Amino acid sequence: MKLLMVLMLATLPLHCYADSGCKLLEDVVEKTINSDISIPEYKELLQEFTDSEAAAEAMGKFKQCFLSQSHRTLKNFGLMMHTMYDSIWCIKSN
Amino acid sequence: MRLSVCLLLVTLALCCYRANALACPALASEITGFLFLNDDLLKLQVAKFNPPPEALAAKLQVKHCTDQIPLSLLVWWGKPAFSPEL
Repeated sequence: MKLLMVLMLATLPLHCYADSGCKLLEDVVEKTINSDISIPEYKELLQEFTDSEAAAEAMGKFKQCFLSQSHRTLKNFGLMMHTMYDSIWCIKSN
Repeated sequence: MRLSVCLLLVTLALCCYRANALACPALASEITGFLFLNDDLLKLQVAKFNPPPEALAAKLQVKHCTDQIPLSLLVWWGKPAFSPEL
């Protein structure tokens, strides 16, 4: 499975062609962290990434892990994500 | 765990950029680490981001939950994430 993952990573595009590319990841993370979004809502919002019941179930369990956290933990998790987004490792200077 | 969650998130990460920047592989690596690495290795991986202690602690706390998700449930999640439209 790890070899498969490596092969899949090798074929992934390394850049996006529109602003939505960057925003897409941040939006997904935001929806994952947002405690106002329920599991059914989360599944619906991300349904384009699921094509099976197993995938939807996995998505639900993933979301549940965030819903079971305190507001403080979720806030700090968001802080962690923004720390990475804003780091020198993710900003390219032209 | 977590292969397809990983693939989904990495796909999204590799499509992430700011302004006219290219993708941030460091973020993709971190997402992979979140799903596959143990706590100590994840800490080493994210050290370069110099995260606030409370932020790292929160990430590890959530990770302890996501680590419990069976791999068999997640293996199919990543397939549509490789759609060329992304």
